[in-house]
Amino acid sequence: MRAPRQVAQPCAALVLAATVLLSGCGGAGGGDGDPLRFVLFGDPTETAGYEELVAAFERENRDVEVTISPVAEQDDLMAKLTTAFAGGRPPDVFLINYRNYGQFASQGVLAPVQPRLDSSAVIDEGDFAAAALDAFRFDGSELTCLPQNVSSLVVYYNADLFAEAGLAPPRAGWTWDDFLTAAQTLTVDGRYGVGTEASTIRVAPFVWSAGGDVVDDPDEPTTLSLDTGEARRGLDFFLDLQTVHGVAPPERQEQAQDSEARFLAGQLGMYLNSRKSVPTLRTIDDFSWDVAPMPVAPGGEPATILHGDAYCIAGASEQQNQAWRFVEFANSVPGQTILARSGRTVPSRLDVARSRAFLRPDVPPASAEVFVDVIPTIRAVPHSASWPRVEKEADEIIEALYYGRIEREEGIRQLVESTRPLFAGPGS
Amino acid sequence: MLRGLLHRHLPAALVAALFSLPLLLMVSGSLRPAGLPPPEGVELLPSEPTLDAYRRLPELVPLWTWLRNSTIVVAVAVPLTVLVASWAGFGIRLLSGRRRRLAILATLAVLLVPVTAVWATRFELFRVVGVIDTYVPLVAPALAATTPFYVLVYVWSFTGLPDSQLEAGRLEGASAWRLWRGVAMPQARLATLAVAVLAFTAHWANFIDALLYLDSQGLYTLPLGLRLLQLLNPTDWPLLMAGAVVATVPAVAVFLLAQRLFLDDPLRGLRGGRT
Repeated sequence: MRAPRQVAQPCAALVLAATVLLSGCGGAGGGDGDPLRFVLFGDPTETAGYEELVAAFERENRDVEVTISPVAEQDDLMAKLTTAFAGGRPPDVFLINYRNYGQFASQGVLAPVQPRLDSSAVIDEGDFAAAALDAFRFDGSELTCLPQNVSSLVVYYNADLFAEAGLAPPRAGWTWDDFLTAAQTLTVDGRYGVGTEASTIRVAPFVWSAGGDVVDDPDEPTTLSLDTGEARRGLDFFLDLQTVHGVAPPERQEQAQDSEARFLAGQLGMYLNSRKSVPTLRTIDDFSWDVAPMPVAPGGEPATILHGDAYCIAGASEQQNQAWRFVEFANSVPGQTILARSGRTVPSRLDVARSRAFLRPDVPPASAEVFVDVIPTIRAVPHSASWPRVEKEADEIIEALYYGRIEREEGIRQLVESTRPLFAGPGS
Repeated sequence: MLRGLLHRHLPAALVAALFSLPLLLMVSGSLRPAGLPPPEGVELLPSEPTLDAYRRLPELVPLWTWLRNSTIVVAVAVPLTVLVASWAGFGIRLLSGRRRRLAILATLAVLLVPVTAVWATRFELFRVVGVIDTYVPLVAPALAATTPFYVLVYVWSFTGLPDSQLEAGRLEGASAWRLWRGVAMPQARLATLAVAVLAFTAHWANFIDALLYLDSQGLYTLPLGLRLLQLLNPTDWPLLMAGAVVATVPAVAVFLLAQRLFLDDPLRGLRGGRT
């Protein structure tokens, strides 16, 4: 009868002591007011850039302390944000992709940055790339959040493989035919010509270049329009790369080694991704690589797609002034220059995007100016509240089509039909 | 003899091998030199194994802080879970017939509520109390036995207690508290082992509460931190694997230790007054 007590008593004491300890540590603290809470997503090297930014901001603003809360993926970010907003304690500032902020903007829980930007003495609307700004005007005119970057989809290519095959390096204005010919020439000996994720945002530039659109009305979309006319031509060209021409890895190959890994191993001629691949590709040392704009449809216009994030301020924040001061600093020349050094994103400020801090002539890609040159051709998918669900559903079907799991006509019919009810969205 | 042994243990060994394969790949992945493109297919042992990833990991991320924080959380949450689950389980066991069945049904019903359904309300509750960005929301579920399932484990285990034994204790004037301590718990070692190990893994691997409630990086726990590593370049995956090994080792150690403590019964000697 004595033994259990001997165990139970220290146990209970431990529990009590620890509970007291726990509620003691943590907590807000901080001298003057609560710290500003800033939530963002990214890997450790990326968040290191933001730590540096926050440190620089705090040096110049001794009265404001910033707590930076990194989460890994956008899905995690959405879980944290939706819970925090619903629970009444959103972060003061957060970084979010333009395809995801709509559900917050539509609820009116964000404090629009437009009035503050208009009266700012530090930054000016004209400093920023229009394509990035437009994606964050939720109602079409007033700026809701301030864009941090203006990354877009580009073609990374293995320059050595191009030279060996006697192919001219791709340049601005190269066509779908050039692209396909290169991909076919490079698909030999277990190597593949081109690798890409199969998703709505990868298909979109092909659709736009062909003269079509992804949705019926970009401002108030009610359905995908990928089954019609020019849009269908773009979608078909994309799907044919894998299903007809076989220049992209089939599903099993892609699962065994994804396109980025394949490119790193020198087994892929061209790789489609946004600016975020650059730090990884810079680890390549056994072949040379470079970057080119997206190819242009015959008789079409050059087009690429925005991969942009912005700083949003929560309407429920009690420190909106401090929050704005941070956002303002982050988007000043010194602020954006700090983040430009990481090389992961294309600065939304055109002056910083054209600076040596971003272009870095000392490291690849040699044609870094491509990221800046394509800015006028950048377009965006809708940023409505219902868009993330549409895109998620569409991605599944596009992937099935790309890997030939469903028949083309049937798949495209499904693509349009099954996403249509989702446009109405949960909020309406 | 040998054949009998083989027959008895072969299936178990096969299943164990199947489950340990991912662990093996995790360890071998962590020994791969960083900076190389990821291997094509499965690689059992890298050609030039190195511990480099384990050296670089704490330089890149505050690994020790995460480990310490996770340890604090489980040190509180696991004993608390065992205590509350066994109390609740014993309480239900003491009920008679219909009322016991009702209590079990109610526990089952609570078990069916998806956790995601109470995210927002829980958050609001913790916000009102002012404990967001502390460990209280991470540990608080332990006050409700972490999950009703652990209560049921104890109920099932205590169902094996003969009524006669409990009544005998009652006649001697023992309170419910003393019956729990002296009669019920010593006979529910397996349940305690199971609940302790399950509660340990649940709290050790608790990602979602850490994500929702923690803001300060100094408070981040291991699962939340490790998730950040998942976004590293594919060439840096040895680091992610090393992180996964560091996260898994304590869980394996706890399981082995708990198994020893509870099944080999080293306390028996103590109870008898001998060593």
